[in-house]
Order: sequence, then C-alpha cells, then structure tokens
Amino acid sequence: MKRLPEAEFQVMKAIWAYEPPATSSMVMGHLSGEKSWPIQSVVTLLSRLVEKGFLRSEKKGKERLYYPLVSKEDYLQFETGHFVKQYHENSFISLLSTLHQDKELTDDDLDDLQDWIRKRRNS
Amino acid sequence: MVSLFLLFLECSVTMTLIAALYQLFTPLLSKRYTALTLYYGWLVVMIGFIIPFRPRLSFGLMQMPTAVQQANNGSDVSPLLITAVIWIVGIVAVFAYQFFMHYRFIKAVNRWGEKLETTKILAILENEQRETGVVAKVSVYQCQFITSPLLIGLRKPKILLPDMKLSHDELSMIIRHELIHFRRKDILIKFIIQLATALHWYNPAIWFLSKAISMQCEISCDNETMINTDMEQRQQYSETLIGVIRQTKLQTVLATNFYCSKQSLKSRILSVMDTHVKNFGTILVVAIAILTLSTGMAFAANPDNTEDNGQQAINERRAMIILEQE
Repeated sequence: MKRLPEAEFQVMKAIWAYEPPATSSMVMGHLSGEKSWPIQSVVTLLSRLVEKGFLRSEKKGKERLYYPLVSKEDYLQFETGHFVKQYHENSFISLLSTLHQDKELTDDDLDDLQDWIRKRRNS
Repeated sequence: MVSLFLLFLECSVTMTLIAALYQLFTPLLSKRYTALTLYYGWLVVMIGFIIPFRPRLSFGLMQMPTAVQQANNGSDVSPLLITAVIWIVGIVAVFAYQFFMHYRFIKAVNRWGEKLETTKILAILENEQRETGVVAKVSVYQCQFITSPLLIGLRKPKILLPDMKLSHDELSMIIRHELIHFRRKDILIKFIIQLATALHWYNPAIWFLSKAISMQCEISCDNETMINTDMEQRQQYSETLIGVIRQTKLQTVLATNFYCSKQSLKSRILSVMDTHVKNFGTILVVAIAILTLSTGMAFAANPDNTEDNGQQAINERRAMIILEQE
C-alpha cells in the first residue's frame, strides 16, 4: 500500500462516507464546498484509485459504480499505526523503552484501583 | 569540536549525578512540596544538561585545553576526535528522527482529524477557558488514531480527543487538563527535554529521566486541574483516567500501547486523591540551580573524579540542610 496524495485521499474519504457502492456524482456531492473539483477531475481521480487497487468499478447502465477495496480502518492503520506509539510516549523516542517496560495494566488492576478510590473517598 | 564534546561529556556526568540524587530524594520531597515544584526542579536539571558552561575558578579554566592537547598528541586522527564525530552524528540522527515523527504526526492530524464544533463541546470549551484563563483560540479535534487526549500547538492550540465515548463531566475535566498544559507552555518544556535527549543521546540516564519528567508533568498538571475541587470531583477525575485506559484497551487494533503504565497510573491517582496541603518550594528549585552551577567549581578544584563525587555529596547535603531549616 502507498500513501495517497491529498486529492485522492479526499475522494477516498468521500467513498468511505457511503454504504458501497458509490457513484461519481455521490462523490461530487460529498466534496461540495471548499474542496469541490470539476466532475472530470473527480472521474480521473476515481480511475487512478482503481488503478492503485483502492477501488473496484462496475458499469451499470449509464452509471459507473465504485466499491472500496481498502477499508478506512485498514488505511488509517497503515498511515498512522507505526508512529502512534512513539508520539504517545510524549514524543519520547522509545529506542530504550524496552528496558523500561513495567507490567501492563490488566482489568483486575483497574478494578482494584477503582475500589481503592471509592474507599478512599468514603474514609 | 573535541573540546565541545569533552565539555558536554563532563556536563553529562555531573548532571546525571545531580539527577540521580534528585530522583533519590523525590519520594521524600513530594511529601513536602507540590508536584509543580518537583517538575520545575527537573526543568532546572534539564537546562543544566543543555547548557554545559559553568563558572569556574581561574585555574580551573586551564584544565580542559591541556587535556585536549594531551589527547591530540598521539596521532593525526585521535580516537577522541572520532568519538566527537560520532557524538555529533548521533545528535543529528536523534534530531532528525524527532522531527520526522512530529512532522508525520501533524500531517496525520491535519488529514484525519475532525473538528468538533457541536454546541456541547463549544460550551464546555468556553466554560473551561474562563476557568483556566486561557484566551487563545482553542479548537478541539477528534482523531481516530490516538489513544489518549493530547494537546498540540504552541500558539494555535488544538486539543485532540481519541474516538471514545466521554461524558460531559469527563470532557470538561480532560479539556481543563489540556488547557492547563497550554497555559503552562508544557510543549516548550517538552522541547527542552528533547534537546537534552539529543545532546546526551549516549547517556542512558537521559532516556529514563525524560520519562520521569513526562510523568511529573502529568502529575503536576492533574494537581492544577484539581485545585479547588472536592473529594467527589477528585474521585470522578481518577475514574476518568481509568475510563480512558479501559476504552483504550478495547481498541485492540490501534492501541498496542499506552503511555500510562501500571506504576504511573497508580502514582497519578494517588496524587489526585491526596488532599494534603503542600508548599511551592522556591528554595528547592534555587538549591538545584546552585548545585548545578557549582559543579564547574567542583571540577576545577578537584580534577580527580572520585573527589568530585564527594564534593557533590557535600553540596547536596548542604542543600538538604537548608531545606530542613526551611
């Protein structure tokens, strides 16, 4: 998978917004406002996305229908998954974090803490 | 370049000793002083890591050049020079990495973040801005790819919320917490910590310290969020912390991690539920600053490293005595 340029991403986002399939006019409708392009550009972007394997298209009568082949979640995971961890540690570069891993929180730990808070309040 | 390297190396050693002592006394000091005091104490230590220059006695100044000359006498390319080059390359690499991660994150926020402008959010934001006295234009975004609320932007603050169900009260506490981060300019302090980490990348202590300071930053921010609140609100706040983690654990795909480990969550909650009145210890912060400045003198007076340690222990003890008297 490759990172999508901004325009293609906007079109893909419009596709994800609908229950599949979507048509080029639906995409146009979603992109109205600040990010509106002429219909030819949208069609070009859609065919580029088909080439890249992000969409599958089917001709039905006069209209062409587009089905997403990559889900929003998968693409989000692809784009952001790798670096979320580092950023979460307050941009701390975790080259050495493996040395500093203490036990992960279990649900029991969280329950214990919650009980302790309640007791603490009532005391 | 070699003398700069040696200057920073010396700074790394002395500041690590000071930081270790400070970390050692933290449990004791946290009973007496606010989390904010301890946080600013760490800030002084970090500045000490970044600025290696110390006032020295006149004969102390002579020390470094002789050491360098001796080192350079051996061959054309001394091992010291090679080490210094590796040091610089490391700094550039760490910086580039930090910058790259930040750049990617901001890009993802711009692409995926969805601005929240519901009347509910705007009302909470307005109310909390009044409470915290933040006048800047703050916007709130929802980002699917983060697992805990956070703040970005030094001038145009953006509060980022994960894709979670949060109640009205939880939202107001989270937003207040992030606004306090903004008011205190914690992002600048994070930058100072990253700078120190890049300059001393070869020193394992700095990596542990940056984590400890992040923790202290959160604890002191929690405490400020909880000013003028009763026990019930404190309980609510603690439960919000737990709630965010519980929801994070459910999103297994993206939440491979969470900054808050078991020990750190416990410390945060203990601190939130602690209603003891504590002081802001200006004296403590000043004592750390004096100790940091005095390391240059100690080096000049005692070129021998072991004696230097002794000198520092004495200095620290003196600082502690001042504290006791206070």
